[in-house]
Amino acid sequence: MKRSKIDIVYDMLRAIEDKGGKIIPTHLLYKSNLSHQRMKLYLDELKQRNMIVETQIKDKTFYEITDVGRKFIQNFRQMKEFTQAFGL
Amino acid sequence: MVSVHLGPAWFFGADACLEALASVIAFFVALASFRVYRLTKERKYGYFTVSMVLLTLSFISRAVTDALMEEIVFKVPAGLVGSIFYIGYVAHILLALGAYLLLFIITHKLADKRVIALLFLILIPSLLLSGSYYMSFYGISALLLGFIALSYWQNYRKVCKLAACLVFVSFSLLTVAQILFLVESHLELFYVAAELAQAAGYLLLLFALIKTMFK
Repeated sequence: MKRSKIDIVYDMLRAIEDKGGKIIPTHLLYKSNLSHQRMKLYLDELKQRNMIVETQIKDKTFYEITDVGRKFIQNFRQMKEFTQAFGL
Repeated sequence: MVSVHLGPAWFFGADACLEALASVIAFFVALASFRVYRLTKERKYGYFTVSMVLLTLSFISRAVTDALMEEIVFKVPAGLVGSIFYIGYVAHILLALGAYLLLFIITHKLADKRVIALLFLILIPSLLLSGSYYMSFYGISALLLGFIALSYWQNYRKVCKLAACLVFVSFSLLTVAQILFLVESHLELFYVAAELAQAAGYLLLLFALIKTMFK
């Protein structure tokens, strides 16, 4: 089934959270199941919305989830529960 | 002297309170749905919000009318009783039918605009050409809510979650309430039972909402 934009955002943020809140681009790429080009677009949007921040540790790039990103995950889970309960 | 009271005298006031409770719960569901709509921008959540807002307004109209008829707040001049009853109940009927029909369209995922238009058009003569707005309203509501409950049963079978089960039981109780309202002219206690079944239905809807929101 085709994932919606919001599903992809959730999958990316959850992948970061599952890795302890910090992930390297390669891991995020295969965990979010996107092409490199599309992932870059989503990463830009997530950074713009302050859901993630890019950090450099020992010359390696990491993407770190922010409180805004964590709040989104919580809201998304509630939304899924609501959708399932009310058959929407 | 105009008498437009429904149900036994000892129940006056309680019905208005139960209807006010239903309107508050429908409003909470509308708020939750609007929150999801803001997050997703998907139309179905927008329509669901509209349906719940219509239901909220419908029950506010009914609660206020019942409170005025039963002279809970203040004594209504005799000349106005008939008009207040007519306006209040017509508003309740039209808003509730709009809400149920919208909910039916959403839950059954009807996409064909011609079918949706036909449903609305069938509703108008079924209501206006009837000898009693009150009876035909509860008849149509029972049918619509029955089909909505059926859809929620199928949804529960699919997702197997407690909240989905609560929503199904809630709409089943609302269907039973409409049937009891239909036969309340035979026995006043049916009116009490209908109001209680309706309130129980809305309370279950609130529990389902709490279950989803505090996940």
